[in-house]
Amino acid sequence: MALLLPAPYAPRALSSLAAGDAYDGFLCSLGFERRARSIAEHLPRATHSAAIGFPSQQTLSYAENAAFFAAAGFERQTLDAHEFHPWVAEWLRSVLATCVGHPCRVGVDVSSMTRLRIAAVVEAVAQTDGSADLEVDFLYAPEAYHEPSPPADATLTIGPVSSYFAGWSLDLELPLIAIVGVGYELEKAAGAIEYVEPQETVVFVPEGRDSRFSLKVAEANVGLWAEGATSPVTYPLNDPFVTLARLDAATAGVLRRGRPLLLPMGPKIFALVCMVVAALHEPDVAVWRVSAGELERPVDRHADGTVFGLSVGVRRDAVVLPIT
Amino acid sequence: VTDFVPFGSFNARASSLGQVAHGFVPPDQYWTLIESLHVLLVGPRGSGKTTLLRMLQSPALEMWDDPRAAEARDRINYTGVFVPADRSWGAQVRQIEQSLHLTDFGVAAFTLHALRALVTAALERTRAPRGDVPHKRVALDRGAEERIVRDVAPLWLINRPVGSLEALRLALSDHLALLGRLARRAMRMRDEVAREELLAHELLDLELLSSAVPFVERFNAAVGEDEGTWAFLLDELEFLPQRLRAEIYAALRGSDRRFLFKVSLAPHGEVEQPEVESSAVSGHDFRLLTLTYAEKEQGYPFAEALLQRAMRDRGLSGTPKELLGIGGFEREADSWSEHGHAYGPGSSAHRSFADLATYDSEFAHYLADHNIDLSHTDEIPPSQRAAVLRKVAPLVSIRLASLSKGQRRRSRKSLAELYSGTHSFFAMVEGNPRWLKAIVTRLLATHESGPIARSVQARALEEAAREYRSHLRSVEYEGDIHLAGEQSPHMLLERLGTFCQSRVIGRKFEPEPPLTFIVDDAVADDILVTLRVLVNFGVLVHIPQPQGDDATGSLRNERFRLAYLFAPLYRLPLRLGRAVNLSSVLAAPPPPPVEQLGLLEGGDG
Repeated sequence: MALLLPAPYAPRALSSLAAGDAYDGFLCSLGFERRARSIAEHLPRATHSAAIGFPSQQTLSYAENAAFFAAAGFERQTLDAHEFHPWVAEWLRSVLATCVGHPCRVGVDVSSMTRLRIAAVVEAVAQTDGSADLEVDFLYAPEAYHEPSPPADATLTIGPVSSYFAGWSLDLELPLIAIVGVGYELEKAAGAIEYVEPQETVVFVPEGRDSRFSLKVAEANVGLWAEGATSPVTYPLNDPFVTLARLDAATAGVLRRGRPLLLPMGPKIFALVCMVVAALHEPDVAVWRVSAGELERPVDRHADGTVFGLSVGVRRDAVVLPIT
Repeated sequence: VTDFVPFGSFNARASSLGQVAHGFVPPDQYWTLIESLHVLLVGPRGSGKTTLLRMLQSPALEMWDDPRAAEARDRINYTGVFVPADRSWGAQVRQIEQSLHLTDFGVAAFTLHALRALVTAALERTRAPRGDVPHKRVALDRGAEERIVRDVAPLWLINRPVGSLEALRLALSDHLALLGRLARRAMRMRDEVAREELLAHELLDLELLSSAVPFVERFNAAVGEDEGTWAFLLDELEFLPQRLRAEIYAALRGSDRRFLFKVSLAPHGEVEQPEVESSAVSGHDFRLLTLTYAEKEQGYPFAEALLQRAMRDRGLSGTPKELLGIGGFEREADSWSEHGHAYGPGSSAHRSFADLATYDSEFAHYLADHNIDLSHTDEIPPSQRAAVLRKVAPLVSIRLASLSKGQRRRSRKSLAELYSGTHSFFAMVEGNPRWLKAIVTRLLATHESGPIARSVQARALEEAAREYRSHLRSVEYEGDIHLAGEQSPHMLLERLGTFCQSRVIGRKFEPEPPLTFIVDDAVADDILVTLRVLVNFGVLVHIPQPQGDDATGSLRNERFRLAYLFAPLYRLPLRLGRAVNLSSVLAAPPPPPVEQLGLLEGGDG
């Protein structure tokens, strides 16, 4: 099995992405939001570039994005969640096969990916056979601030993000402890906690540069940490490696006394970090998702001009050191 | 703003066994549960199922600091083996089974967990008691312990030497780890060979009872209890694989005196439970215990005891009645002593009736139709007072409090304040310990002494209802996505609530508005899925038919009411009300917003 080695990715302006940032393989989503192409527009063309569309919600900026990716020579496919899972594993294998004599560099723009897709990519990376060194940069173009959408009428899915991230429990007497990333959707986290019924909850709160976002997060989760939850842990939105260090420490602590279940809501980058942490502790840590799917009103999110991310190295014979 | 306190933080599994035992207040059902019978314990989330099962374990009984603990210890002459399950575990197993197209994987995993719990319970019996009075403690010498595990280990497919109960338990954990590894490998390799290897593994052939027998026989013999009984306490049966549920239902008919099954289950669970009716008959082989209270008064004693306990734990003296006082719906009774009945001229009820009749012509017609002259209520025979006045008193209060601002008098009770007071509080918490504790925590967070103002009570109750309703948005909706706006759990509650509301404060005065629903044959199957969720979450309360007690079978032709917790959100009286076919409610156009309901132009709720 391959060993995963997370590493920092220095945040930068989108406009500063340069020739040195070229990848052997680059993967992103062809979605309805404008920012789906923001990183691709600034990156040098990779040897294997793919933009994968969704069968539904082909609206808002979808057509413009499709035109861009076509003109830029990206491989384009429309895949549903079930089709994407095997596809990405095969795509990664094909990219790795072309990297002869040098470590393979892959960029993955998660900005417009669903949590299901992020999970499939992380699983594919974690499950590579380790026959070649691999460096994966998970990139994220944060959105310019917009007001939260009204809550959807229903949740269509709340459960493990995939079988790989379902977790595996050896002792059901141990308490189920949820580590919950909150966002600014009103009472969404509280409702999810209510549904999951963990015995204890640790709350992770994003800290962004936009004070309006922080205010909305606080309003949407009034008192969630006042009682019944342990003290909130803050994480910097623009530094996923620091977030990973904090989450990994929290998860390791929980593993000593309970069954961790990661429940990432809010910014997508936290979902990515959750999945990397779960992969590091596989199979002891579950990652769930809460999704209203097509009931969520599509929003044409625009990138705010920066890019940050998390690097994950995959080594054949690495010695894993504690992250913290 | 009252601090938000998650309902889920009052989950019994969140607490150590010592904490559970310390705060335990037994409902009446506990004294039936402890009998040497198979029991199916049915209740919605938060109704105390886990607590009740955990309070059958010896350590909990030893730590229970209550005068009635001695009786419980005397009557519980079996060893409780608590086997937890939860949604997270159920999802793990389901993901693997779906991914690999397996059916028996979850059964094998649960069997290993249950055997592990069996060994844990046996091990516990050999240790020092947790309290002053021991329960089922035994001395087991090292040689006997070694013989038990040496004999049992190979039967449980443990192929390495084990010399203690602790080692036996660890070996079962290793089995579980192996099972997980095999499953993950099969999923990773995505080939039939790895799947077949998992399918063929002998761990998948382990059966719970046939595996438990040799252990129990040997342990019983070693401690000199040949007739010793072991009770499997299986929590949250709905999260177990279907085949396992069927086996457990069959075991409820079992006559092996060495084993009892006491299992908890969501009412009309999130999955259908047809096996209950066919394989075991309530009252014959096992007892069905429900933890809901169709008639609100049935839950009052338990709610009162829970509240009294919560007050004691916070150092508050007095009684719940002194803390919460008399509520808005109850105040009419004040006038009894003065007037001989509650509706005499000058009484608060009389003032309310007269006040409403001034503004509400439909209500005035109702009085006239029944030949009621409010200036001569003393002359109305008691039977007519009850049939015509008393039964509509709560409706009068609600309609009066719902009048528009221009029609409002300062002296009237506000809509919010109606939902306060001891009996309203007891009714609204529905005998649900988790609801009660969540609300009491809000109420008592800053309370130091004396009664709690009715407005404070009402606000806490309404906030709790609003939050719980909001949380339904996070419940998985499995119906037609295009109908989620009408049929998701959150929206269906809204639909039912606003329907009842429109009949309580609509233009037409209905002395007996429909407040309960019969799931008639015309209700689509899709709706049943959501209804089951609402029942499981305690949002809908089952009203058993006179001769029936089945709370687990089909929803069809069963009657339900909205939990009284939601009454303030929809301005509903805390009573059963008339039944109406659910299909007719769903077929009717959604009622207009409360401001447009007719005569009543919206209140202050």
